[in-house]
Amino acid sequence: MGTAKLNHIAIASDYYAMNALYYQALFGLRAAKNFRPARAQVVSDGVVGMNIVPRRDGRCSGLDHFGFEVEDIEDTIDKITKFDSSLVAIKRPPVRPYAAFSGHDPDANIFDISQRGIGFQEDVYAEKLEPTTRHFDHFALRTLHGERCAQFYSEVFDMTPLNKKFDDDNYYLTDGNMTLAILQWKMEDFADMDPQRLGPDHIGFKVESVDKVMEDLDDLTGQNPHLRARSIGYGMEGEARLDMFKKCPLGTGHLTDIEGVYIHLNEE
Amino acid sequence: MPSLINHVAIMSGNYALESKFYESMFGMKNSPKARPTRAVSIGDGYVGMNINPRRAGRPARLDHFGIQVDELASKVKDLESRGLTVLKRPDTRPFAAYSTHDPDGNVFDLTEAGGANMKDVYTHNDWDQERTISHIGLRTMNAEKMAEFYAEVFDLKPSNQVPEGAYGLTDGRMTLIILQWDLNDYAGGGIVGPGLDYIGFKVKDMKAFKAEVQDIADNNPLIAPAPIGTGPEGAKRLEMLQRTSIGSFHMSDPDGILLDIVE
Repeated sequence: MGTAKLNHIAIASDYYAMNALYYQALFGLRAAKNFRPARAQVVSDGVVGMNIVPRRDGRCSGLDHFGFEVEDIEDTIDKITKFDSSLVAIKRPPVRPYAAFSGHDPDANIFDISQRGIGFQEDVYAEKLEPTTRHFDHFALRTLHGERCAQFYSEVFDMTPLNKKFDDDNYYLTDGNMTLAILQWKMEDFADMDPQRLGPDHIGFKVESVDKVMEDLDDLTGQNPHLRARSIGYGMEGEARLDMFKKCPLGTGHLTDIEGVYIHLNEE
Repeated sequence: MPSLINHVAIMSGNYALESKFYESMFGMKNSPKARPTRAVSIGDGYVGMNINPRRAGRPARLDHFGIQVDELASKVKDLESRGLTVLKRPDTRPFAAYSTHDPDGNVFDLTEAGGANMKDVYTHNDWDQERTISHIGLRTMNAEKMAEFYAEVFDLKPSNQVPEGAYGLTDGRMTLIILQWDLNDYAGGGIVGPGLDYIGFKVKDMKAFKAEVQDIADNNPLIAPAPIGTGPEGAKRLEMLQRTSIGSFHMSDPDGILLDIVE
């Protein structure tokens, strides 16, 4: 197993404060003691941090990117350019609690790069937080050149490929805790619904019981209707989208956050 | 005959409000045949804009564009011969008969002139108005190749009004501006992946337009433009937009979608 850890997820959101509360309420994610209220809301399962970033001008609202913590950033950037000399990584403004650099894979899927113990990390990334019972399990992206991207993450971040069914054209790579699911983007998958561009697709949580999470969601909606999930699977097109989501084999429960970001539940 | 770039689509968590913004600021019109249960479709007399409610699993953003061709069957064959998949769409769509993508994975819709599938504003989008959609900006991994693709397949002509280093293809009225997506452009701010970047509008009188924007925002803060250019990161993003667009005034819609305004 490699030393790079996929330990950062970012969502850009029109309702970032409320969405952070949703993840805290339903999954027990924790905020840092020393959080910065003027910026993104950052929550964590004790290992993986998730930044819920206010949507800015020119940005999309949705699941946005992910990030790796590595032992040596320079070495990682060398590996990226060795893989493909046209790929670049750029230094980020120092206000970020996690990202020191950002880069992209051959299909332009964006990721952040951070370094353990480098000194600039803030918020949940700087504090040791107790692990939560419900925790992040996978991050899925849908991309045009699945095989090449899988090769990229395996070579650059030493992620280990997981076994898959012989007729599955997706790729699954693990860092020992989190799985990166690289789903093959195909136009034909979008028959009966609106086609979606390449990019991040969903996040996965490992939970003690899918039924218990659904029960808790029902209770949460009753307590605070602002913290309710979006409906999924309704109508012919909703059903087609849900069927497509269900093709990811890494979970059995399906729901969304308050803005519609797909959440996959994988029972322990 | 060149095809027409006459469809733009936005996904929004505030889709009804977004429509009021474009109707108020640019005089875009809804259709008397509108279907209230679905997306809002508004038009400027040439380009139709669908503002679709954000659905589960989908981001909110400037999402895709659409092209009207004289004859669909041969165009579908041409695209398939290039190894691209062309999908027939559910018949509830007011514009799209088919959807496909360019070799970089940018999704676009296809329809046929006078097609039986057309609904809402697309059945009568033929009036004159002062403020119109004039261009869209697309950032992509292989800009030069994509420009060749759109020019060849849709017989679009090179435009003489393009930002430096970009490719502009026009149907005579609407221009598709194809920009090279480069991570280095995002140094100093938030990063956005490849895809549609901004919508361009042409206005007759910029001074009057700016005054009206202010007046509308003062009267109804819910449809005020979201701020742009604020703080060091906002300033960088605005500078990038200014450098890679053709307008002299820049603003955003209430969701933060960037608009490039040309007089």
